[in-house]
Amino acid sequence: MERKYLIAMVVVAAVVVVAAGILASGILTSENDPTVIRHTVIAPKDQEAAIQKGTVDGGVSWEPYVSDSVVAGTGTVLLHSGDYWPNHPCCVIAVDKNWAANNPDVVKRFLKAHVEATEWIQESLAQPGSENYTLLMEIGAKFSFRSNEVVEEATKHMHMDYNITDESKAYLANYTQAYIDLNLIPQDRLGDMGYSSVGDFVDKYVNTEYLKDANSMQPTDQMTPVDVGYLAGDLHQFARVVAESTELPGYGGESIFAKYGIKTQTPVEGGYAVGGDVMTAFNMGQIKIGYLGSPPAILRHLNNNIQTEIVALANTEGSAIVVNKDIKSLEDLGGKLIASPGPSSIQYLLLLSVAKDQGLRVQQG
Amino acid sequence: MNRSEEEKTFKDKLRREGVKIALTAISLISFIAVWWLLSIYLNGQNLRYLPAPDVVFSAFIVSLSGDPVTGLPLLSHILASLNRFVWGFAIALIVAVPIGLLMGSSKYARYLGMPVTETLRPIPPLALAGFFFAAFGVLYGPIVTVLYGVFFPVLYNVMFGVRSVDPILMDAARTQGASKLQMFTKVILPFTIPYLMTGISIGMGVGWMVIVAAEWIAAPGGGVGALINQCYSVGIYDYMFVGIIAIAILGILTTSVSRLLEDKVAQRMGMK
Repeated sequence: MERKYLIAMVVVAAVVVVAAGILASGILTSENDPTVIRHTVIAPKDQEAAIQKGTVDGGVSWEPYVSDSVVAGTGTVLLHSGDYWPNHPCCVIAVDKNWAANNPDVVKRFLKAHVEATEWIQESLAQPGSENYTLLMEIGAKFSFRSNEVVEEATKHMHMDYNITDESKAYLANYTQAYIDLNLIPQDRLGDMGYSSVGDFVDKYVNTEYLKDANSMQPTDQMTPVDVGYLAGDLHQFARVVAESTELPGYGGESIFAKYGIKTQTPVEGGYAVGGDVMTAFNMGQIKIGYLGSPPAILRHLNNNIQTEIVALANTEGSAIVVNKDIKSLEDLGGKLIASPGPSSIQYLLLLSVAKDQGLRVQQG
Repeated sequence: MNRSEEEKTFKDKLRREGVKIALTAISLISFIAVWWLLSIYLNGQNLRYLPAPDVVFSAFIVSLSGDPVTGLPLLSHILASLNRFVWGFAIALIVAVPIGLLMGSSKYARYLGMPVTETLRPIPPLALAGFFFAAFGVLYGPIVTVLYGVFFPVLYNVMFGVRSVDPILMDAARTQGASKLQMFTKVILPFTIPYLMTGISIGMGVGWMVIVAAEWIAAPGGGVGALINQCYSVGIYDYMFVGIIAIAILGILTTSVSRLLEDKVAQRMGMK
């Protein structure tokens, strides 16, 4: 009888292993259809390791993670987003719409600081080797936990910009249309939300009035606390990091935000993981101003009626498809497994658009 | 028992069953009704995070052939999660059972093993998920995370089972001349099986919790956790709820199976 138990246990173990094997064979084996790019979601910070381990053939990510792979030599850039979509808007500043309407001066002062920080970055980058340049690299390295070398590489392919131009708006309209085409925004949602078209939506969702008036804001000693959300380690949001720094020369040990009377505070020290979390924080009233990618700002506003609006850009360009050494051209992407930060990212839209150009389909795999 | 008494007990049984079914139905229907009313109320307030049951049902139908976010049929997600779950679970069993038997039967093995297991056991698997993903990659990271979650309940229950063997049984076997091997296979092992089943039961619950969260990090080939996370990030909550319900059903199914097994084994072992 006891032997029966032993046999039973062995049989059960064998069944479990065989069942796992059968299940695994269907899922872990990759089908290499050359007309399909297989896509999986991996956070940018983990993509380098995944490429290195050979789990994925490449990934689409933002800075500093693109440059991280490049500097470490674990991956090569197949395509910079700026070479594909010149001047495309990426991260933006969004505000809680009602709060902003009630506190316009606070928004303008915040934006004034953002503009000043952005211009400081632009000027510093224009003078490689200068003291400010080195300081900028150090601030970026400290924030992103990367080396100065990685930050330096990252700044070559992303542009710090705050202006929302007609070109930026056209891109935002394209992103929105792409999501509608993908059914990730239901067809009737624009109408439900009171927008007559994609163009009408972008016109209303983007509010440049605060930015226009920001220039007239003067330094003040009166401090206003503002709850701010941003992404962890994301160099696209470099202007915020610089505006927070108390090390800039000529500011007497205070930050640019402090100069304009803004005392930032954040519910999540170190930043949120993804833009969707920043939008959730808006929805819960945890933050009033947020730095995040434009796609989640659009998606979550429309899909979940989160009352925000875009008031400035944080950066343009600065994403890239990073691949292993076997992939030499965009056509080579067929049949490969490529990671992105997820469907609510600009990197995913980039992958879809590139795939379409190459006559390839993107499938989760 | 005469005929009328038999009829009476039959009627009693029928009534009890009827009451049980009615109360179960009332419970489920009220749950859905409350959900529905709450979603109508919240949507009326322009708070769109709780889709109504009918909206979730429509999303479920669409998901069967592929949801808009991942494009994969719901069954693929379920199989992918099940696959990770089964692998993690199987390896945990294969590793934990022998170690548990050894640590239960030898005090030296216990002295050697306990400091390590006692240090590791309180660490929630998800606290280590990041490390597992980094060390084992996105393909095996989730499996190892499940393995870790299932390992300790199984190990401790098996060890506890071995240590609970009635000394009288051991003495009886010994006086009848049983060898050490016979003592192990004929007394200790059978005695331990019901405890093992309890460990498996607990491990199942832990396993599902772990797999969903692990798939939030990465899940090549899909997975219900990945479905939930991606739908959340895009903000299409109807599809997110399809994933949540799928996990609930999978959890109910697997725990029922393990409970059934546990009961059968307990009956067979004369414990019930």
